[in-house]
Amino acid sequence: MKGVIFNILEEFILDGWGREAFEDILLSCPVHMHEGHVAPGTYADADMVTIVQKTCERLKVSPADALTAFGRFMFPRLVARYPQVVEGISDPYQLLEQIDDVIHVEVCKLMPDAVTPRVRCEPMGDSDEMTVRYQSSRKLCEVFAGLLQGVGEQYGRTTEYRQLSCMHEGSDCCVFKVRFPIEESGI
Amino acid sequence: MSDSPTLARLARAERKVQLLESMIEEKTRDLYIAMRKLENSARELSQVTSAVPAAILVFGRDGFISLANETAERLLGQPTRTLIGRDVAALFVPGAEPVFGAQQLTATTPAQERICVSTTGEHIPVLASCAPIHNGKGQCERSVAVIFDIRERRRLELELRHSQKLEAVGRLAAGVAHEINTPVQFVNDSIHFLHESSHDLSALLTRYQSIAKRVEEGRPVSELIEETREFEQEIDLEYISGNGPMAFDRSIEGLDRVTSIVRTLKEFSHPDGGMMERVDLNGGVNSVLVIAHNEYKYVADVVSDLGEIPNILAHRGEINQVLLNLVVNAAHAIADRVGESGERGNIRIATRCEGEYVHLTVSDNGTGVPVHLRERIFEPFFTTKTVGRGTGQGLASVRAMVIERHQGRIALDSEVGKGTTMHIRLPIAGAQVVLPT
Repeated sequence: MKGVIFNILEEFILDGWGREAFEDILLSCPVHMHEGHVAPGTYADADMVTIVQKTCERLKVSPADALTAFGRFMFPRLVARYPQVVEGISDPYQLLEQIDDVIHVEVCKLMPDAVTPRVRCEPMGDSDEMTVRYQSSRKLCEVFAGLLQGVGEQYGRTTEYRQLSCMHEGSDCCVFKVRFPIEESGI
Repeated sequence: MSDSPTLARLARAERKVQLLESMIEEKTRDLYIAMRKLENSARELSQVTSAVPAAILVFGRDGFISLANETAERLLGQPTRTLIGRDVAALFVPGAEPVFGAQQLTATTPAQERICVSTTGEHIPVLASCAPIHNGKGQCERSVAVIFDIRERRRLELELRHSQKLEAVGRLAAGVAHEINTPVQFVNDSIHFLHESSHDLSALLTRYQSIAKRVEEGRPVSELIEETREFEQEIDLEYISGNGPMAFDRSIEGLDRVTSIVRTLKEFSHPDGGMMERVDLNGGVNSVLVIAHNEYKYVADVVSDLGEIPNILAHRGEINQVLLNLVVNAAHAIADRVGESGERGNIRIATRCEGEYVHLTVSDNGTGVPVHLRERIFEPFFTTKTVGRGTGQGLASVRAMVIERHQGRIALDSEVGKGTTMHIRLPIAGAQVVLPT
């Protein structure tokens, strides 16, 4: 996993629980993780799992909730670091459709050794609900659910989703039904 | 005052900086290596394109050249920098085929013979083909033309055709020599007769002069007249009077025939300049019948049915070669059928004008060609003749000359045991006319 994700996770912990909590969490991790992470570096997926685990233990939060919150926190910060990746995309449905063929292609240009999840979208037809399939060996579907929320917020929409299947339960991919209704402005 | 978390953060920050510096060095090294590889690839590609013995021109959909190799420079006589930006179509003389240029290719074009124009105005025969260059999305935005200079090939082809022609003439040499020898023989006989007769006539004239002198002198001449009459009988004056003029006629006729054969042979053997010219096909038929007379005179009678046809734009030497090969083939086919029977076959040569082309037929009642050999007889070096009667180049040459050089058409009607008719169609306006299928 690329170091930039670890950096954003660091920001997430600092933002939510402060410096002292982060230092405690880091020191509770294996020694090799004490050096910190640089954005262009590549680190073991297990290191991310360890940090999340230690974070949840230290902060008494459920891993699923933590990961979802992290995903929602991460999306705008990824956009801020790499704005060219989402350039020209005008709505959240379009963004989801372009994840695999455009966004992840651009990511790999910037970081050739990045391993990206597989995200496939089915045509919506007349419906405003999109079926999205998430597939990854890391099985971070909770993070993905948070990213969906971040996508909606990016375009000023609320995000409504439900998960129909999960890799943690043996499915070959996690299937989400998601819609981004336009917020009614209060008068 | 020590602050462990702060120290830890500082140490971590220092370590990150070191890590980043190390990554930058590594990336810089990787970039340098990648740049060197790219330079080497570019240099190698440049060396390869320079070494390729064909002109390479890359042009866009607008037809303007964006890349040219060194061979293109040498071929066209202008440096690469002046080729870049030029319209590729402007480098070729317009022909009947579509010109490379502002068009979107969908597939590689077959190699076509075209004419390039150099900066000095020289017309250069080339073999050119064009292929699309697809981008990552499968779209053709550029094309590459590959152009071979075929001047040397043309020169060698010309030499080969001339050699083949001389070979054909050489094979006929014995026959031509015989053709010449026959009239020379009776010229010789006639001259000897006239030579002897001139002596006798001279002696007779002397006697007539003596008689005349005696008459003038008033002396008797009857005895002298009687002697003269006896002398007239002795030299057979009546025979000399009757055959002398005929001997002159035969001599003149024989010498005319020799002159005709020699002139025809000279015309036939003369190398053409490789350029097309207006050719009288009927005249060519008549010339070939003279040259090849010894090949068919013992086995076949020839009938010419030569129609009113315009001169055709063609290579004179090649047309003569085609005619010669067809007539000789017909004669050999008849000879194979009649053998020693003494029977005589027929060769019929006809010409007609059919729209934009002339139609030549050469028919014989020889052995005919079996169905399974009808394509093979046009293969180089394929022959059914015995050794010494042909090397299998005749019909292969005919096909090459008619189809490839003149864009003509060949068809064959044949029946085993009955004979063969060769149909040759040649465009009146020369190559570039599209014949109906």
